[in-house]
Amino acid sequence: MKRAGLLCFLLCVVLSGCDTTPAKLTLVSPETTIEASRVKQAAQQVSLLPIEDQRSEDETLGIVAGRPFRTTDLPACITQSLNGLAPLKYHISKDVPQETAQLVLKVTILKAYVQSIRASKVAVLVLKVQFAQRGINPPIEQIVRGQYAGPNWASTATEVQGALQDALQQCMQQIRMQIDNCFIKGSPS
Amino acid sequence: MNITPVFGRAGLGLCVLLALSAFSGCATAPRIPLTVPGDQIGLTEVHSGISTQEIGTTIDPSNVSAASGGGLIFAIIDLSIENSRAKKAEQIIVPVRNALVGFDASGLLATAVLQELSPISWLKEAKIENGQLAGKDALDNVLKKTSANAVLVLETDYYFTPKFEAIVVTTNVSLYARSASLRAKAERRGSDEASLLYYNKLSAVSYLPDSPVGLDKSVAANRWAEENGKKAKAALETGLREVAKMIAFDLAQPGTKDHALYASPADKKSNRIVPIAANANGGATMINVSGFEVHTDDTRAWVRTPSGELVSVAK
Repeated sequence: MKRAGLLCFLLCVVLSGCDTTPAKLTLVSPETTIEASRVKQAAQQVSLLPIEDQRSEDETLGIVAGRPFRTTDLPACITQSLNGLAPLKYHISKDVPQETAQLVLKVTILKAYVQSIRASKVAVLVLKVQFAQRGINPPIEQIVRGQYAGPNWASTATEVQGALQDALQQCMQQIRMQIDNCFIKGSPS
Repeated sequence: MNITPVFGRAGLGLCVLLALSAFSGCATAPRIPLTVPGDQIGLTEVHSGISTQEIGTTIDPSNVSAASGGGLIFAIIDLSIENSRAKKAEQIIVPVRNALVGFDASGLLATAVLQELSPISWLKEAKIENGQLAGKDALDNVLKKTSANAVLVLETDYYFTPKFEAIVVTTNVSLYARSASLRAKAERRGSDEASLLYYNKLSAVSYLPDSPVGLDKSVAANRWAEENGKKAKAALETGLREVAKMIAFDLAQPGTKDHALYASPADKKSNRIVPIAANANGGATMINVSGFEVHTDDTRAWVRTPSGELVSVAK
């Protein structure tokens, strides 16, 4: 009886991998536990311009094992992730006026997609980031790329969402390194 | 993130085996020749799109399970090896992808498709929509809403071979019947409700120029990426143009008798070996097959494989 139950469960897992129902992903930015007032007191003020989306099809993410995925909240999620980037050191927000900011960030989404390679899934996010530091011209532009490759278990929205968020976190780490460089060395490397 | 194991080793192995058996169903479909004359097709809507935003990777399948005679443990090992190969390929490809960030493959394809299809009489008045039809639902919506007699769908993909020695551009071409008179003459595949008047897969393979056989994957990828991706861009431009030309060529081929996939070759000596993707979307790997030449020009030859696919290779 137990074996039959296990087999049924496994079949359900496998068949869920054949699910071709289009799925919409809801991305979640990492939670910031620092109080808002302390964030605003951070030493470095960074102004964030509205995220630009240059993808030709801004909702479609691609297909994993026959299942199409899409998301509508990628720009909002990137904004939230940047807001929560090193909150004790930087106050990164669209509310920081450009005139008073030490650094102005402009982020453009170039690519965001998911796909499969045999039984593995891949998620890729490519951003163009412009770092405009006060008193330093011209601004520096950098392409940052985050990517995840790992086994595809059942093509569920949750696991594909996790893969894309992993790619997003890698982008955030690279952006943070460049912001650190701005303030340590005076200009991005 | 907390990951809690749900199955024991045997359960996981069984799951992997079942998953692998599910994937094994993704074989390439054979050609359906167009047997309806163009003047009977009439108004056609064309949808052309590229299914990936960047150049893709493929990997060689692991054969540990097959070589050892099967077994759950070996199936898990295969899966693990393939996942490791996929991760490595995704790392190696980064310099090429960075070099191709601003490359407009969709624009190039749209131009080439318009140029090659417009001389075809029944496609002269065709409205060409550029954009990917992601999934069956998107296709069903188009088929429901269109007022055209037929819908031609071009799904293009481009990727490296597993050893990074070549770039392959592939287009799946499907001509769906919409009007009742055309649906009566069309073919239904599997459980698919849509009726096909024509189907084929067309590929163009471009090898890395001036490079020895057996070049290391990373070295090959770096050579493709050199000079802001000059070699990769040239290969993609050639590939996109070639598939557009092959679409027009294959749609113009005469119909066959007795449900044959294609007409027999006139010259049996023109056989040659070409690489093709073993399955279409997501999870492609390359295999070599023998085919016969159907067309040549100064630089390239088009080869018809046993399933009717057309492959363009350098002469």
